[in-house]
Amino acid sequence: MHRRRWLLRGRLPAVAALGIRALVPLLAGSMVALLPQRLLHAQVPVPPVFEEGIVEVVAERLAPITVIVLVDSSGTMLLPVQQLLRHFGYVPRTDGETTAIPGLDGVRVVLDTRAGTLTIGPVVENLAPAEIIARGGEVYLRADRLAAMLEAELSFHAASLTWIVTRRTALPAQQRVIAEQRRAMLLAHQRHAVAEAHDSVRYLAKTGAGVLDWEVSTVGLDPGSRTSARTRLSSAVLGGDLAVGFGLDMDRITSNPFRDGVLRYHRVFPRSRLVSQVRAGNITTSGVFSRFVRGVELGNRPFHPGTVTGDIVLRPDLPTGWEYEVFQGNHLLGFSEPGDRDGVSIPLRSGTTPVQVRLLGPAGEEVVTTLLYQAPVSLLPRHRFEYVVAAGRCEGRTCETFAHADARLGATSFLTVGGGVEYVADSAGSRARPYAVSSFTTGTDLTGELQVMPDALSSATLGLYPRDGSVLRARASRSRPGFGAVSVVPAGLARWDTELTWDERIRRAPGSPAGFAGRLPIHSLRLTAGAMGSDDRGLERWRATAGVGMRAGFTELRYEHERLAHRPHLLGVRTSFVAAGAARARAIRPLINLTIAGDGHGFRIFEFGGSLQPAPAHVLSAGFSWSHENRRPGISLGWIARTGGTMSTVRATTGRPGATTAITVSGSTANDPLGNFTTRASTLSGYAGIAGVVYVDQDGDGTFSEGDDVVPGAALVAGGIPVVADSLGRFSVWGIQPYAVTALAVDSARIPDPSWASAVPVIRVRPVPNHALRVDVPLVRTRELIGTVIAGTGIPTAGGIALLITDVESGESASARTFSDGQFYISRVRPGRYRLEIAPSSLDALRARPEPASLEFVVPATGDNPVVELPPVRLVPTTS
Amino acid sequence: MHEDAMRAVAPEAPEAGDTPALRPAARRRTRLAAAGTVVMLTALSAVWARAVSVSPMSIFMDHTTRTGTITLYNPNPLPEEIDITFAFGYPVSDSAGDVSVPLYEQAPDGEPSATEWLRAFPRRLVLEPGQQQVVRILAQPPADLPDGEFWSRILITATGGRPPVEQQVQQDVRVAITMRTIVVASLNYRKGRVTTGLDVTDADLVRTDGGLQFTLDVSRRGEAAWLGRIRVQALDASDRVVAEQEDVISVYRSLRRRFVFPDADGAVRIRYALETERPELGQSNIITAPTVTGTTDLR
Repeated sequence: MHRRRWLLRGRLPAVAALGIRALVPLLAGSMVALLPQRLLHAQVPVPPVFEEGIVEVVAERLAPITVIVLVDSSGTMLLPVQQLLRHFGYVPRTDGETTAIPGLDGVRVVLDTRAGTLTIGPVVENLAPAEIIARGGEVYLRADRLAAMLEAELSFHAASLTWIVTRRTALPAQQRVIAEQRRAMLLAHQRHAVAEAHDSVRYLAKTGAGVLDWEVSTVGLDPGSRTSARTRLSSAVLGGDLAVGFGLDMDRITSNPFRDGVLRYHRVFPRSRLVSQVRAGNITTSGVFSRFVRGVELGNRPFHPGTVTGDIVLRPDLPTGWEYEVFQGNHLLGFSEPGDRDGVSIPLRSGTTPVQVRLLGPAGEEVVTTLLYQAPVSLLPRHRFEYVVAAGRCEGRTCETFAHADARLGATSFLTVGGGVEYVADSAGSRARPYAVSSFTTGTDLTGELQVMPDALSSATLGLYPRDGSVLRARASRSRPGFGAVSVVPAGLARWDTELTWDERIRRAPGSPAGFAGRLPIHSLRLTAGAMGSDDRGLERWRATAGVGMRAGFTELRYEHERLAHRPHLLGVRTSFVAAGAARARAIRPLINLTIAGDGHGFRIFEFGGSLQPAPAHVLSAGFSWSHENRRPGISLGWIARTGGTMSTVRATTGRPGATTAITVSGSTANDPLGNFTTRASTLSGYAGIAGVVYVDQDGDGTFSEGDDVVPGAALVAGGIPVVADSLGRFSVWGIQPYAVTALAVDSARIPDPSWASAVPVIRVRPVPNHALRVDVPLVRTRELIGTVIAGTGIPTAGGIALLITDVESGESASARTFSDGQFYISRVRPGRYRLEIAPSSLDALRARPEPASLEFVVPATGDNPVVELPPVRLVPTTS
Repeated sequence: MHEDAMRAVAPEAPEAGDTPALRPAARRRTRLAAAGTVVMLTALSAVWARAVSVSPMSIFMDHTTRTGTITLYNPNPLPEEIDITFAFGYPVSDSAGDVSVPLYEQAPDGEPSATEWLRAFPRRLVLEPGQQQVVRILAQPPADLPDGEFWSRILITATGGRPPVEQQVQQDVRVAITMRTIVVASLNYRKGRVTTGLDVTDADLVRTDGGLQFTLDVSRRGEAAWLGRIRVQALDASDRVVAEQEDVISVYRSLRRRFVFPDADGAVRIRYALETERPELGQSNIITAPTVTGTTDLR
């Protein structure tokens, strides 16, 4: 009894303080004899063959539990079943003699005390009397039998008097902890993400700066004969994109060297719902048929259309005891809660929306299934109304005057309807053509898009998704000349075009050996059949292809019949692949294309080409082609290089009509408010930039001023683009999408002094096209926050207590937990006024209240002391 | 792994019944005693009380960047509370050639210590099971720091963590035994151009009851620690290699190493080579020096 007291109070003698864990292995040989007598102690009278002892039972992610065990004279241990089942999260069904729990794979596990049996599914095991003991309302079961009951492994570590429970499938309580942690983490992350997406960032309508795109090309080796240049100057004007461009022919025989003049202004109002875009000048209209006009177009279609088209509700129908979670990628959409029958709302996105449903069983089972929701790109969110109107004079000879109005409404999350009218005037007169459009989805099975313009175009596209990885698409259209897609079929009364495509993604069967996938590289199959023709000439062309996608490339077998061509029946094979292995390891990245086709009279087409990328900025290509119609073989050589902010393309070809050489050099240049010029090989026109200085805000005034130190080499991410500040702390980044809310953040891991942090975690701006916004990034010195929570009388612990630290001004909060000794430590706390509280969940668990109830404190912006030490918080029991 | 980091605490066995907390007055070498206690306990119950893993075990910092990182990982099924502190120490040897690393909270006078101006971010944390955490080390040396190499040891103390109090609600009796493990990593901070080299001050080969015993005394030249490897070959009368041993070696001031070969192979001579080759530390971190070779005949 005396020893029991010190065990209970935790006052171990010196040798025990060194660790029972350390001593017991030394006594391993005498474990059987010593355990009951020396380290374990009888609590209540027991039969002579058993003594009681105390051990700890540990399972990953669960708090250790200390239990009373029975130990017989041979050292065999019997563990308390009911207590452990509850600890492991089971809800056992007991009737005094039997204990039943759900097992894995749906089996039922029953322990019958009276009959002395353990039933796991169809298997009934008889238990010896020494394996099961009922005492004091508890059932004690031999450890290996308990392991079988739990379908787990139990291993005893004598050094620490600990049973360790492991199971391939999580125990229900482990599963619950995992799920809770997962949900808490994801929901916290999502709250942060929601805050990030909050659209309160103003758009500043800037004017100035500019981007110059340029291109010079020449054909042949005489620069004076066939050389041309194109240039476009884009500027920010009142927050919009003003572009002026023209082409210049330097041909000696050209009388008017200027061509392709463009003058266009495009302004986006990112926060307006009434008019979100206005375009004027040389524009391309955005109705059912795009037209090139000189005119004006305005509408409320967002410049950056959201990908979410609506919501659908998922209500899994599950047996009792099962729970579910619904994910979209790493985004937790929702989970089942007791009594909640509302289901989970899933945002439907354009294209394919994969949704994972994680089913959690009562025995810890976990099953993940994936649902693929389909939505056409033209589907609008529910109740969203969009319109576009445009008018102008036609460019080219298609018409003289053109106007159109288009309106669409998301009637439901599954159906969008719309319509409009086109007005065209030309030499033949003027006419107005109304049209109707619609798009829909049934969820996971069928999508469709329909367009009807009487006497001009009828088209339908359907997609059928019988199962994951399998898609059947059907497309049919009938159009009059001047409408519909460009076709090789000559103009007639009306032409029609149909196509059927089946895509199948082949996966490795579940459970097959891992290496099997490597020997079966096929991963996709595509079968296509199509036909086109016209009302007056009948069937013009039809074709069928079968393609197989492999890891390294794609091979397609094609048969086609084209009435007009000199190859009425043609069977061909086309293959392209990227070499793997050593070549890829050296980053040469060779790509090879081969096409061979012929008919009953022999070879008709032979094409072979390839490219190499010997360095990231250089691509070399070569090709050989021969055809029966054009018997002279053609050879081509090419080189593309991106060097020094320019892209150079050189191409030489020989064949019919003769040898030619073409050289093109292009580039783009932009300037920023810091006076830097940025050059790129690809265009910067229409894109935005951000430039500024990273500095330590020594005086705490929030602006870069004299006395503030710049931070050379600071790493930032602006709009997803990484950039590093130069030796003067300056940075400049281009190529950012304008108008959209863009985050600018410092990579805290690469700040030279880890105690510095960005004054604002993330700076959000709306960039302006053709303009670099000046955004200086202040860093502030953070402090370490330390303090102590003291457990008053009656409070068992001060460790593991959750704390909430709230920024009084912004309302943002963070959480922390105390260490075992009650101390807490939080690093990198920014200057500001904060409030520290103990989380209600911890107070509830301890039935305690803090004194004081909360602490308000200030983290200073200046000063050398890196630590802010708070007064202690004492926990006292609640009186109720 | 830095050999001296590994050996930092092993030779110091605790006294029975001693715990770190019972010797608050022992200002110097206290941490070493604590570490020794823990290492012993850890060795005895290695399966259950695994420490957090620390990578790398040797950190090299320079005056240009002044920062370094270590990565901690908790492979245990329970949380670990981590405390990161600094101490001064480097490998020394006794007359028997056994190497240990005495640790000091304050460096003895005249030692090139970086301990006083190092900070860890964060310096306390809880590592959840399976969690990984990067800890940044920042050096804030005095402005008048002379050129040279400065040393310190990073003590990563892991204590069995406590789960959230919301999961601790348990009315049963508990026996709380807190395991404490200290992992010691080395840190070398360099400013300016530093050199290193080795002098063999004594080499001796004698026959003892345990076999042929080769003792080598070396002292360091230059400003930086000599980090390398020693290869020792036992040769017979015809200079044929009959036995060979190899080990890593770190010489901060001077060091004695002892190697024992079986006497049955007819060895009468020892050939040794000391070279600055430590690819496991990142060869770019190693200051190279000429290889030192020599032979010693049996007395």
